[in-house]
Amino acid sequence: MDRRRALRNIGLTTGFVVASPAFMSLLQSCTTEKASWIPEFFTPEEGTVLTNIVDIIIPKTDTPSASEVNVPQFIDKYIVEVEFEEDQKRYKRRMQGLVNQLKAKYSEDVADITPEQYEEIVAENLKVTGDKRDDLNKRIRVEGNEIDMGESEKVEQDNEALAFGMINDLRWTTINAFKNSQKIGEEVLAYDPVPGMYNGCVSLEEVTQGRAWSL
Amino acid sequence: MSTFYYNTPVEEYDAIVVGTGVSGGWAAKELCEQGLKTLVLERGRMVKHREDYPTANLDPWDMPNGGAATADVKKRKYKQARTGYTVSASSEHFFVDDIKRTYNEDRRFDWMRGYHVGGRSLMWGRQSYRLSDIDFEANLKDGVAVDWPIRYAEIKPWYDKVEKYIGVSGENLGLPQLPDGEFLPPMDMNCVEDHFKNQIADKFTDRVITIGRVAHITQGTKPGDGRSACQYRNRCMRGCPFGAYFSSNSSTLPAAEATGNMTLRPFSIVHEVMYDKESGKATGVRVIDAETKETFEFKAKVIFLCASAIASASILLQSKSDRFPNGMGNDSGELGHNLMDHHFRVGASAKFDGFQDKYYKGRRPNGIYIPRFRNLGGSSDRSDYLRGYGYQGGASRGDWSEAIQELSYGKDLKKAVMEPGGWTMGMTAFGETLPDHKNRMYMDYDKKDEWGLPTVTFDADFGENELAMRTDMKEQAAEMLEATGFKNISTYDSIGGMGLGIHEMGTARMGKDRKTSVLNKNNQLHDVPNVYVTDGAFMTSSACHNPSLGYMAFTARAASHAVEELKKMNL
Repeated sequence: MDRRRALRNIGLTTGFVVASPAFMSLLQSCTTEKASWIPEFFTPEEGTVLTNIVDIIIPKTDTPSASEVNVPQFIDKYIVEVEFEEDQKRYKRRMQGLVNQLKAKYSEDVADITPEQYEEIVAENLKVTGDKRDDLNKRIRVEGNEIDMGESEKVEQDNEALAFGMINDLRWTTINAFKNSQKIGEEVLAYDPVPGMYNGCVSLEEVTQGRAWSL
Repeated sequence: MSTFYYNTPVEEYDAIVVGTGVSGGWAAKELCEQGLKTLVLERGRMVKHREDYPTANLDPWDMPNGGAATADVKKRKYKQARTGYTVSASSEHFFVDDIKRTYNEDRRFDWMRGYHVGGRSLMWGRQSYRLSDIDFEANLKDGVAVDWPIRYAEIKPWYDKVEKYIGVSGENLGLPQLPDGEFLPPMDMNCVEDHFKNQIADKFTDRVITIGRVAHITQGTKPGDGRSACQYRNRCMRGCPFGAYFSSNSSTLPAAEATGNMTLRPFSIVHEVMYDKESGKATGVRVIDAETKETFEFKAKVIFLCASAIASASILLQSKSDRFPNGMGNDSGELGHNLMDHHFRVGASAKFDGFQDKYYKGRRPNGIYIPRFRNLGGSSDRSDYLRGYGYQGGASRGDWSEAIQELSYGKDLKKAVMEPGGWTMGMTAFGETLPDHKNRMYMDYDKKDEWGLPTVTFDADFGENELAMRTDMKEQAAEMLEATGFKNISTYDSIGGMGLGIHEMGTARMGKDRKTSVLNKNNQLHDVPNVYVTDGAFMTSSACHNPSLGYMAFTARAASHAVEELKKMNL
């Protein structure tokens, strides 16, 4: 089991720091380690935005928030290692659109944007319904297929649609990364690495106290 | 320096087995146990049971990116990735690099494979069903292709032998289209599957639901290298440290090794069977070392080709001589033709309201099975297509995060992610594919691989009968779900390429007549009696279900035949 433990520790030593007040307080509340995270795919500014957004999607309750189980790092690394170039470009474009949208709405310095403001933009984009949603869905597809970022100076960017696309992408990627974290998988969800048996019809309350299996 | 396992090389062997998958493992075991000094050749690397299963105990968070396939792997293994599941971090090491192991496609063909000791017996689906007389008689009855030269009664004892040895769990149903077997206790169904089963029994007279018959030990142990009961981890494709499902590595190869008669040589690419005109027999095989590119000849009295339908046909096509200018045993011109795979990826899924307070414990590496119910005579007969199909499926609970839009973010979403969502039932049909001479693989001598060998080109696709069947496969799935109280039924039909079923068959079919078939009823080449082909190549028709169990039974029978013939000095 040493190898297993060693592998796990790799995940645990990757801490990080972002210049966001909300995040700093989180860090101080859970660890005294001086950790630092420099995103590989995103810029530091985008890393700050990412960290704040994932914690709106999955906030701290009696269990950890998304950023407390390194969801931002997971997403950043996943885009670098798993996504093909065209999808990386899409992420880049959408994230830049989101940052532009945040700056236009709230503050040129993302460090000044409050958790309440982050929640506002997440709500606007995830709870949008009906015609407005259809319209944004249509626009994100147009924008996504239109032009590479490097050459887009002359084109008016549809930041509203890009922000919508990014936040909707992040909803799924955050849930995925959160459930794939060791802390949630082993300690929060019901964890049963070697069941040893199969019983197809048992009381949910008795078998997991109402929780989903992690594996 | 080449590595031989278990024994040092000798001048001449009694038998050579090419390949170490389900067929090669069985050939090795049977031949060695009956006293033949046997050389087993495998083109890929060594994989030792247990110690070479590096991902067997890893949770998603133990692997980078939760185990997702990386862009680099997806680029190198771009054809293997067509399945959507094989190249994830947990199993990609068991699938080939498509750039190094190139093949060509006149028409798309998804050739999924692993080059290592154990072959696809390590990653197979483990569903194990017997062919019936309805299958063996089908070609004759329908006037399609050629008749099988064998009937169920002749192969039944070999199915019995194989099932008892490897361990197959399941339920006997007494159905003519799906013969009963020597089964270990069946796995359990979950609440919703049980509901489905009971409702189908109430509402349909022509079909039954059963649990899948799988090559898993559900009780006790089986011979081999420490084979014990299934732990319900559902990580089979990574190799099982408990040896709970059948693989060559855990079962047949250890048995062959225990006799002291087996010599195993990995990294051995067999590309030709040598022929002696005087005796009319094969004398051995030519081999290139995959790593050093050294060439060897190995000699033996009898040769078993168990390299897979495609690879065995490829070896024979390359085995040219004055007597066989078009490839060994290819007087009929059928070698490489009649390529089949099952067509699937069609069916339906639906939600079930109810059993919200119920869940399951354990990750069952199996699903439910609905045996074929079409074209079995009487009212089951169809005018729009021949043959039939079965369904594999199952019910499970996901989470609520996708189901309820109001839970879009925040504490409510988090809660929904932590709780089991509603029940979903999915069904996928697997259908029979008719043999067609026009569906083939052949060798491209202009496009060579890095060993200087010709590459395989595929030219095959599904036909009208399969497409007509698919309409019914989709409709019946929806109809059954509808009739049994499921909601939000959605159907799908995404045929993909031939090959995705990973059941390549038919490239050296059996038959009664040497003018229209490659192998006789004993799996011998009609014209070279000491060469046996016992992988999927021999299949005269495809039936509609997973074929591996049949390869094992036919291999055991052929090995017994070869030993008898050697004793009688006929080979």
